[in-house]
Amino acid sequence: MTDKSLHGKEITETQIIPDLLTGTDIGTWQAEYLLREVEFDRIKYGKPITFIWANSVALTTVGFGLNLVAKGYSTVASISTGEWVALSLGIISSIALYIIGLLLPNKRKKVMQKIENHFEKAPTIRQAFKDQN
Amino acid sequence: MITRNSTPKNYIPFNTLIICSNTLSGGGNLVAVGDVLPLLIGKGEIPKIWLQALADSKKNQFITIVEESISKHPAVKVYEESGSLNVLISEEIVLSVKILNQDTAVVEKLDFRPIGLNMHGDLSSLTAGGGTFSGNSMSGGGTLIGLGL
Repeated sequence: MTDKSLHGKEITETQIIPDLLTGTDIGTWQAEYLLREVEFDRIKYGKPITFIWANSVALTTVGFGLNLVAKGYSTVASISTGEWVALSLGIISSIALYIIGLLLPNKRKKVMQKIENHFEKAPTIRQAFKDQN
Repeated sequence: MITRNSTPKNYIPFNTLIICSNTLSGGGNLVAVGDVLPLLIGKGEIPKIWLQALADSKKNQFITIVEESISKHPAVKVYEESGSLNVLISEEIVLSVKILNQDTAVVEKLDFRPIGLNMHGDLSSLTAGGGTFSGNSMSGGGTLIGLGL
């Protein structure tokens, strides 16, 4: 601590006080979300499996479709009916699986919604806090 | 940020400012941290106060918590009572200023510890860091207390 005391003086220059800062900051604070283990598991595994299947089928169909593009680039007629059927089946089953996924209970979505609601409603407040370092 | 080189447009300093028994004349400031002026007290029907708090003491960043005597922060209250303008943080008085006449204002109470500055005082003296100041005078518009950064 500095001990620079002046009483009844005519001061002509700024008095430098090295220990002027207390180390207290005004910070922003928001209540944290208490994530339970079961909720963490739901986020990790709670997505309906049909979404993953829909994804796999969609990607395979895209690959197959690209093959057909290569094959039918010069003459579309060279693509057989069976190949068109396979492509359509891929697209349809991928969409169907995705829709089924939407209809199934999605626990992951519920937890994510709950977390989102928490952060929307939890007030943000600023408060002074002492630096711990 | 309010600095020596950028003060608000509506800020007109008092010719005489008596801060905890120390008299600053000629439009001087109480305190500067580097170039930042945490407190400005300007002329007005009620005193116009600008107050900045340390947002990050490591980076020397300040945020304005009172602007032209209006609170900019939920934890800060500004109100006038029997001719004095008071600034409160968490129900503690941080600053109390009274106008004596058109050219003179008096800081009756000051406690900047909640906003990160080690300064407090009342009508008899001002304590800043480890030093106390009372009955001093400074003219020419200088800054009484500083922390060079």
